[in-house]
Amino acid sequence: MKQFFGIVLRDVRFRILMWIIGISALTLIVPPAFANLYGEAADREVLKETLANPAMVAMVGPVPEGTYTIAVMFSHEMLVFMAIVHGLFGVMIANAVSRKMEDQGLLEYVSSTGITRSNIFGTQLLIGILMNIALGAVIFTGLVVMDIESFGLEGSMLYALGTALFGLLFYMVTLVLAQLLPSSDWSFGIALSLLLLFYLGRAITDVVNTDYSVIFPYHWLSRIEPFGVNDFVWLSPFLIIAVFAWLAWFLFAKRDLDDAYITLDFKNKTRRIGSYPRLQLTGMKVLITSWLAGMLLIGLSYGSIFGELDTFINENQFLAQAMESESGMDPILQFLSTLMMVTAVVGIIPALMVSARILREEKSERLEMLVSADISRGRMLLTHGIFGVVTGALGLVLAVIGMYAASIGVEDIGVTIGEYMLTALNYTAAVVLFTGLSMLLIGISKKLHTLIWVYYLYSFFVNYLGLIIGLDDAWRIVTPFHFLAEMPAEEMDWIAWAAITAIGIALGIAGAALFKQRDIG
Amino acid sequence: MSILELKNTTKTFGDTIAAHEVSFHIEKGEIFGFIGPNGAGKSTTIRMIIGALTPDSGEIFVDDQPISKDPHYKNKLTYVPGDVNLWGNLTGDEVINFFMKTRGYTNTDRKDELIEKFRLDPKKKCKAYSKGNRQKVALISAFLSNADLLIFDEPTTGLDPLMERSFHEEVIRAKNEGKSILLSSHILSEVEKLADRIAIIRDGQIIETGQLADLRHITRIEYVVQAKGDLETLKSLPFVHEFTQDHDSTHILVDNDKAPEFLEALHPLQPMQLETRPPRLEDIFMRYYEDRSDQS
Repeated sequence: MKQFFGIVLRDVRFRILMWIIGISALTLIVPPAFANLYGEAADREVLKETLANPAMVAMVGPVPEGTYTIAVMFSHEMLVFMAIVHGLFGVMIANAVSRKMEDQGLLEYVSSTGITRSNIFGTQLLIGILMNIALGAVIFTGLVVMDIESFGLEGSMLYALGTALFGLLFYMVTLVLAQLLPSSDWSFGIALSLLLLFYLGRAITDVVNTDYSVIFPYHWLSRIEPFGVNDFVWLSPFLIIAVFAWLAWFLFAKRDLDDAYITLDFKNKTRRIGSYPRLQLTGMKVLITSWLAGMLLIGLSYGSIFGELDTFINENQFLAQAMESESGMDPILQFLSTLMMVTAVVGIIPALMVSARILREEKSERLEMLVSADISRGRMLLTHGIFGVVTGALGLVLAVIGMYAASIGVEDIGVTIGEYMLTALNYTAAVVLFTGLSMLLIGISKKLHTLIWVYYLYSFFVNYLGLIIGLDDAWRIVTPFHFLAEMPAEEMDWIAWAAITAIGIALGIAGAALFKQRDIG
Repeated sequence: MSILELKNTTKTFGDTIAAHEVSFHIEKGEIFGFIGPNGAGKSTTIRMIIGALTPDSGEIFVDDQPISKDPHYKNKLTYVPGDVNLWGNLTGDEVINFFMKTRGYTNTDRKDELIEKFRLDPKKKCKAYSKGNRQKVALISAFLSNADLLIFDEPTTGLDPLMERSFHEEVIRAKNEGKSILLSSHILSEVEKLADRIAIIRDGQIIETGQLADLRHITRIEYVVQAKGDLETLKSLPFVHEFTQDHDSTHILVDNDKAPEFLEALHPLQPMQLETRPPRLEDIFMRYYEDRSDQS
């Protein structure tokens, strides 16, 4: 066990370290920033008021009662959202040390050397527990050491513990899925879907009635209310982690290696795959359809809170008038545009994943075979770029259809389906730009491509933080969202749209041209 | 007429020179063996030929046309990598069909014949295939093609001896159809069986090219002998190189072209048992180094 633990840890320690550094940095840069921006209690109260609108509640959770101190503000605005990142950390590492190792034949190999099932499972368990403890410890220490006003020991402890437990919960869920499903692609895909579906489910129930939210682990964190109520009781639902741990062990001990409880063996007849685009489409079928379904779901869930938005505005006529006089815009349209932009930012992810799929061909050395079969490299990359853009655009269309369909009964939203479609078209420009940049980086080098995700994360955070704390718009100047019209509240800006689309296309073509020249493999 | 010619092609990765002024050519209808130990530069050279890598200097010609000037030279060749990776969710059949379709060949009878010959279960998903089975899929696709030049990088590493024989038969069949074959391997005996000419590469440089018979002078044969007389007397002969004894037999390395002289000298010592071992790649390299240090 000791040796096995050692070797597995050595295999994943770099990744774990990167995640810990990334998550704690992301968490710990926020409190000083908030202390800076919102040092005045009066400012925080104003912010608190605006965060009480349903669009914001859907994003960050219900507004806690009591004084809105810097610490309370921090935990309210960060907790639910950071939980996704903590969950993702758990899912990725759990999958790497379980089903992925099994798929690669490593578990079989170590089993042959006398390492038992309980050694293997013990190692998987221990890594999950230790990495989350380590992350929690870093965050706790960081919060305490910074010693910012209103950040108490108890609250810091609860914030760190809550997020660590959340990460561990999804680590354990992934371990269970690793036993149930036949490959690491499946266990990763389903675990990720659960993580996101729970977030969306909570978004709806938080707006409609928080009583229903208790079935979603995200809400347990909201209920703890670190730095405010500090309700330790809401740590107790996390005891379910023990059940999942037992279940994973039970399922693992009882099955053969490389076997699964749910086999998804579709006995298809031979498909006719006669071209590179067909080949890729076949390979990305699951990826594309699940993203499209996800985008539709995002649209439906946001659409379903528009009714609440309407009621909220009717009940808060004063706030509504204040907003309207400040921006000269219908507040409901403003909220809608905010959610639309969040949707657009999320909708870029599938486009990037699809365009980057060609790197998978390169890493597995299949690209060389394809190249030797006289399939043009430039055309292969263009295929991925076009598929990426089409997937991204379709995702946006489905999201706006979802919004439209779910809010059809709400009277005060005067947005027609045509305007919704135009909004989708508007944000397609951002999809084109990101995909084009992704292609350019692929054309330069396969290692450099990671930069697109750095750029994406940057864009994500400045937009997200821009929304919740009113970050200065200057931060967004290097992202397309600074230039594109915030539809449907603003009028479509065709010039910005055309310019960004054209830049994206140019970058993509340049990428394809470079890709033809560079060494592969 | 040569189907493929490399002129002083060089490729460096950072500080390592993976291929240094590599030159050789392959005639039409010829099987060309390309041998060298792992990491000698065989794959780098092949990957320059298929266009995955661009040479730093030098030129590659296919059908006497520089490949940099002919964007579609690749429809004259087909390539099987040493470590074949396929699309896990596609069946073997679907992969073979894909390559047939993209390269425009249609002979399905021949496909069925090859699948039968290599005993491939084409209905299985590629992720369920062993290394050998993945290799079979790529080999079948290659033998189906009507390309003039077939390039195989370590083609038999995952195949069992029976399949290895099927592979050899197909290589000879391709040759008889007038195709040229580039066969890279680190196993000399395999190349020896098939190749008309060979090139030996080491540390990125070609150290010998020619017909195997011409290269006999650099190979040595190992004799394992048991005799009544004292074998020690052979030790001083000029064509005897290594002389080692284990518990009951004596291992002697003898220049390949001096076999008659050696047997003549051995005869009076009343040999009881005599066994020969074919020349090994390592021996060639040993010999090559000795020759080089003699010259310097």
